Amino acid sequence: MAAQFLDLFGVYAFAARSALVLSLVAMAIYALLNAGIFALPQTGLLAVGAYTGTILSLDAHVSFGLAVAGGALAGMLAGVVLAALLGRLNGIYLAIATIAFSEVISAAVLNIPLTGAAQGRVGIPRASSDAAIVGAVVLAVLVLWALHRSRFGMAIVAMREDALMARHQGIDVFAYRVGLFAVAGFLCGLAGALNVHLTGFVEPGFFNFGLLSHLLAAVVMGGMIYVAGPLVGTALLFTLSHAVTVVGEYQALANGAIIMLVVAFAPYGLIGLLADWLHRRRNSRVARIAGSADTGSGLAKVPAVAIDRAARRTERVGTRESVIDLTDIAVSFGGIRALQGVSLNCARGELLGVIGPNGSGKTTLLNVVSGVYEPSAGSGTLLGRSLTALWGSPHKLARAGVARTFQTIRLVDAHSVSDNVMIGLHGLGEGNDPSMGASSTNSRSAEVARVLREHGLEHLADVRAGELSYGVRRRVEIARAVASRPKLLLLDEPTAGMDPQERAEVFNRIAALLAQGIAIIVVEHDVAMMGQYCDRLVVLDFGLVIAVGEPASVLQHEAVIKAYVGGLSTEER
Amino acid sequence: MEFWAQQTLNGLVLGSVYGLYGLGFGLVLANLKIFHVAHAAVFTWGAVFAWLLTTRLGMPIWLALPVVALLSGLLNVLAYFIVVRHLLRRKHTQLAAFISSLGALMVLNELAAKVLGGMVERIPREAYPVHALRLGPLQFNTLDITIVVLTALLMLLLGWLLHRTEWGREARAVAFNRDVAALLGTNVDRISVAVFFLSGALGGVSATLVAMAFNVISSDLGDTYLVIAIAAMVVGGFGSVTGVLLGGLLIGLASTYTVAYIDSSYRDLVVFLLLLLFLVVRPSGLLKTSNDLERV
Repeated sequence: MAAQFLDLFGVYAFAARSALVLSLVAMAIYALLNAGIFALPQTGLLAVGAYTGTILSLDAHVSFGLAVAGGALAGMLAGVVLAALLGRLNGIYLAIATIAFSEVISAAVLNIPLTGAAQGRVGIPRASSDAAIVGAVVLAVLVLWALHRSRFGMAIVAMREDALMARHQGIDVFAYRVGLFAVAGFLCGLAGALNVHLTGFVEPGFFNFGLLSHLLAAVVMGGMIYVAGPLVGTALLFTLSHAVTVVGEYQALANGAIIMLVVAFAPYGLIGLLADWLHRRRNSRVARIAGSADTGSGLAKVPAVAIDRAARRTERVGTRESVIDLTDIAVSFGGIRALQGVSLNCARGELLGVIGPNGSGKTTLLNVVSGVYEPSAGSGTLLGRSLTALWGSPHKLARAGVARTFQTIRLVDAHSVSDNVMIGLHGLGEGNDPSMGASSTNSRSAEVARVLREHGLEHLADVRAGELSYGVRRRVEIARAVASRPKLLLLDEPTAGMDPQERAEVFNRIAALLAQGIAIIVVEHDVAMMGQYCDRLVVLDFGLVIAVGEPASVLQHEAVIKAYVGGLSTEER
Repeated sequence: MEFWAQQTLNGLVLGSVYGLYGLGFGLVLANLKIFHVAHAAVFTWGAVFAWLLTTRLGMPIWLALPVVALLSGLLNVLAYFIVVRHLLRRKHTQLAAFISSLGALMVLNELAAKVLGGMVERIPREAYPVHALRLGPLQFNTLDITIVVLTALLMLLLGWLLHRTEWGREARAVAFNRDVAALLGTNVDRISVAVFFLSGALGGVSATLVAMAFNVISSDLGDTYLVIAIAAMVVGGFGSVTGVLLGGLLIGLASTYTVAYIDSSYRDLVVFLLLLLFLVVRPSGLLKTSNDLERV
């Protein structure tokens, strides 16, 4: 082969080429781990690409380019099939299943004639030029970078940090998983086909657990949530093993020790350390300039006057179109009936309060409407459309126009307020509002800015969510929910742990949303406050609706008083 | 028929060792919901300990086995403190613990290779005299009997520990829900230490039995049987002692039959396909013990 530019690595030129090719596999490891998918099918996918490339070159006699493309596509196909096959397996089970997949591939090649079994095959044209290798790596990095920067990138972060929350933002976690397995399969297949055309041979022993461990070490070292992580990690390990003789001699020992140390002290690798350091430095500079960073509740702008039900009454609009109608909803867990025969409705611009003692089924009710649980009986409609096909699928309900906040705040702490609100915009691209369909990054940023302004959060746009006070975090969560332009908003204890002024401020926000015609169902403990703000109240006790109607009459209801205050049980009577 | 009976016997002997190895993984998985892959290295070290004790100290195997169990148990406890414990309060514990444990696997394997001098070693024959036995057409030996009886005894002991003692009650409570068990006053850390010790000890004993049965000790001993042990655990059902034993026996039979009736090159393929099949179709295993299988 003619002189090529990687020859400048001298005696290490071949090792450098090999490391570059394998960095594609490291990127495939990143692609899955970054999305919080604990799966390690990479060596199996690599083998699929390697053997496909080999067979295409040696038996089908196709050109180098076609063989490599074939290997990549075969890897991608294998990835998709695997993801579909493993369905909704998660956690350790998924990790074990994917490692088993690699073992199945290794064991299978021993029994397929075209693979050359245990001996492998030789004589593959060594056509992987430096240009091809570097080109593939650069292209892969660019594609991953573009993916990271797109709206899918933020969805992937949401998936990693909190899958349940992600699904409530309209993100189809399963579809993303299949897609990312396809990306990983493509990268591994590409690497496999390139590698056999680099070495000129293929043998089954190459695709072992040791190779996976080595590449995983690289990704962990670089930083598994950064696009550059795999490349940085591969480069570092390459340098370490070739520049430091001792490390080269004890490669596995060094890799193992590095893995343990990095996981213990720098969970997001060296890039993570660097990013953290930069963030702290910037923060302290901002703090010096501004005196103190205002990450508090920003209450100064809020009028002390609360807009309660009476104040809202005056500006109510004519027709009250019903947004959600539930009929005879029942939910049971094992033998426990958490909800029975629950029927309710909520109209445009109406604030429906759900109250009841602890364990009465309030949150369960919200969980049914938002798709966490599937009801065991009953039906419902959202704006006249039947919910039957959407039950149990938070992402479908989210796209249909249901948004919610959670009892325990579910924000992505390491990301900025605007990033968090951006996650809320996700569902807009997929059904809620066609006008937002293929919206560009710019118009999405503008939309985020608008939502932040509306919620009085614009001065905190770049602050990490984890650095905010409790009350502000609640407001960010509401802003995220509203960003998806929902028809129905579910608020689970939005004022828990707040002082009266903060509460009034939250209910003023709610009043503004009601004025836009959103139907809102709110769960709270404070009966008096709920009576003051809500248009109607639903009272739950032991999973049954014991009263529904205007607050004044509901709160006089005998059963309601009994449920709260206690009183004689039926046996004692 | 005779051939079949002989293969079945071989499969059962092999399977009980797989079950014992798999149980080590299963105990830790049930206790902390983590995949402690370094258990494979503790397994390897069990065989290395047995080799050191029988060759360097000239111990007979019956004396060496308890010491191997103790040392392997302690090694696994050390792994718990260095590799796992600091990651339990992390957000992505499962992933972090797996990666950290993988690091420990690499370190321990490499150290085992250094101790063995990169060679394949053997436990000397003097340490465990083997006598051939016949029962009708069936051929077996005293080592086979030792393996089956020892496995049965250890399983019974473990079953008794888990189901008949106060400690077992607490350990099962932690497996059911670690946080709730802690709130109710269980010292979850101490339970974990004990679980790691038990799992390491079981690994050490099963490694010694494997080393004797196959007459081989190498630094990749644990890795060689890693996926098989996991298969035993998955097929049987996580965390169930009886289940993992059954899973081990099933895998042992499947691999023996494959070698006997098809071809030895298909052995791993059959075992791994069995593992994948169970993960896809029935991830809870033969005996369903926990309903906390994680799904999206």
